This record gives sequence, structure tokens and C-alpha cells, in this order.
Amino acid sequence: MARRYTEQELLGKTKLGLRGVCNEIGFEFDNGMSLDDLIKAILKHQGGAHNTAPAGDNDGSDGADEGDGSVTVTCGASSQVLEVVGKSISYVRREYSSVFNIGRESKAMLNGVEESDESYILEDGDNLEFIKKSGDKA
Amino acid sequence: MKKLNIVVVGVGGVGSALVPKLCRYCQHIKPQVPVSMILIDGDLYEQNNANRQSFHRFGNKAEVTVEALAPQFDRVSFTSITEYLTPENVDFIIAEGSIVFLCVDNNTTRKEVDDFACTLKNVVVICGGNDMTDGNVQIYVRRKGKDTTASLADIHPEIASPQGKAPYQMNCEELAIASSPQLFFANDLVSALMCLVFYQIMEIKDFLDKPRFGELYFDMLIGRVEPVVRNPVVKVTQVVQKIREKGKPKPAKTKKGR
Repeated sequence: MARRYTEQELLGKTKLGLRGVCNEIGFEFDNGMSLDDLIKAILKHQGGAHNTAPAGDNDGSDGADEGDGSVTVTCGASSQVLEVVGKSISYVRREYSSVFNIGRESKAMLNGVEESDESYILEDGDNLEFIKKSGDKA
Repeated sequence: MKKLNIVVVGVGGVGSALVPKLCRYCQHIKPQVPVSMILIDGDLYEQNNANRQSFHRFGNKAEVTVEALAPQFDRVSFTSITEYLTPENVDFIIAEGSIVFLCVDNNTTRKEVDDFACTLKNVVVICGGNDMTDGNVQIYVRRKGKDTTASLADIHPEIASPQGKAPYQMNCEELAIASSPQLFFANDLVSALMCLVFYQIMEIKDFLDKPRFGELYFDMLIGRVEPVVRNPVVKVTQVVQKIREKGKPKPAKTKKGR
């Protein structure tokens, strides 16, 4: 599943960086395009290739419906933009534990700050990280 | 930088891959600056290290590594310390302004270095570790007495409350059990990412004041390196301290009408 970039993430990239994004998402890079046009084209390309949330998305267990927008979820080197707005942190932990290899004891950080309340309902643009433990060896 | 004080804690799989790379960079850095490099490790090179580590003779890892590198890199002033880092010797080894490469396989030593670094005004700790095919490099920076990234323990609970013993606390039997199979490529990748951080410190003017990332994770199986920002954590004790320093709040000033 290719990562889906937000406009904000793309705006922070150089042309070389956008070239890498194009390669990653399978979009043909056009060096002749301006940065703005390239970002628009990437966003448009991604529009038809949204990630889908797993089955049981609206099972009511978290008492919230899925909304518009996306959340960047990271654990270790794995990172994806997911459509889990309106879902809780505990929902993401449960449903995506195998995709991201999230450890049971991995603490959750929301937008760079530790979030101990896993019933928090995720909002558009949130950045959720499950901390992967440090490498044990050296 | 007027002088480089580099400390490499641990000269195992990661440390022994890292040190020659650092030396080569320091040897040719322009403009020239004096470089001192301390290597500390109480462990010995043995036959079973040969699958991941390069050495010309058996013996203490810090000593043997310095013996091999000193003739090749005359611009680096080496010191080898043939013991493990402990709370008793840490202040002797890590000085103000040091760049510490923490290449150890236990969280107790990581915590000890992290705790000590918190007491310094200017220091950089670059901590690397790996499992079989993945791992991470974390950066802790203090500038002018303030954190510009989160500390190691701020982010990682396993470092904040380490389980198990540091090597200096283990007997020979425990040390033998502690060593488990590893992949040289993973060690080498950790060392390369630590060099990447070092390069940013040396070449990017404001990196230490505004680090673009505080941790790098890699996973060889999915072919990714992921940078993560680690903003400094405001601790409750710091807030209390500030309130105490300020004393009672002064009444708000009001602008006089014209």
C-alpha cells in the first residue's frame, strides 16, 4: 500500500523530494512542471488511490463514525496516511497492530506529545506515532 | 567548531563499524580542527566477533581499535579506555561540548549517559541500536543548558526504566548469554545513520538549534528509513522551577490612556 501524502507534507519538499514521492506512489515525474503544479498533480493522482480502512471500521466500538481527512500513523520505519479520522487511538492500535508491528507496550504519541488517553478521537491532520523500542543490540 | 571532542561508548558491532568512518571524515575535514576521540569499552575481541567486527589481534576492543587506526589517521588524537562506562567514570569521560556516539547494547548504560548528559550545558548524544534487520538512531541535543530535542528516556520507556544489567554489572556467564546473533549489515547501517547525523551537525549550520529530526528508524525488510521529529519535552519539574524562580506573579501592567 503506497503512502498517501498530505498537501502540507508535499509543500515542505524540494523538487528532488517530490521526485522521490512520484517514484514511491507510481506517478510520472515531469521536471518541466512548477512545484505548485507538481504538488497539485500528485494530490490529484493520490485522490483516486486512497487507502482503505480495514473491515469493521464502523463497528461502533469506539462510538464514533469515520470522518473526512486523514491521519499519519507511524511505528518505527513504517508510516502511512490512513483514513481513520473519527476513530480512537485504541482502534488504530488494535486494527493496525500487525500492519505496523505495534508492540503491546508501545506508547502512543499524538502530534509529538505523549497521549495516555487512547480513547482520544483522531482528527484530520493528526500525527499518531506508536513508539517502537530501541534496538537491543549494537 | 574550534575543536571536536568525540566519545565513542562501545566498540562492538556498531562502534567498530562507525569509528573508521568518523576518523576518515575527521582526517580530511576542512578547515582543519583538532579532533580528540575517546573510545571506551571493557570487552575483548574474540574469535566469535570475526563475523561482524574487524580486528588485527585479540584483546581489549578500545585498545586494539585505536592501535589499528592511530597510524592511519594522524590528525585524530585517540584515547582508549579499557573499561566499561559506569556512573563512577562517566563524568571523567564525557566533557562539556562532547559529541557522544552511544553504541551499546543495554538500556542501563543508555540511561546513565542520558542522565549525565542532562546535567551538561552543551552536548550531543547519538545513540544507535539494532535488532536483526531493523533498528534506530536517536539524537539528544543540549545547547546552552537547554534541550533542543527530547532526551533518550523522554521518548523510550525502556530506557527510562531499564531492565537487565549493564555489562559492568554482569559476570562472565551473564556476558556470554547476553551476546546474541546479529547481522553485520544492520550494525553497519546503524553506523552509517550515525554518520548521517554527524554530517548534519558538522555541515548544517543550525542543525543543533533546530534539529530536523530526533530519531531515525530503519527497516531492512521494507527498505525504509523514517525520520521522526523529537521536540524537547517540557517537564513538570522545569515548570515548577520556573515558577519558583519567578516568584509571585506581578500584577499585569496597564497601558495609560492618552
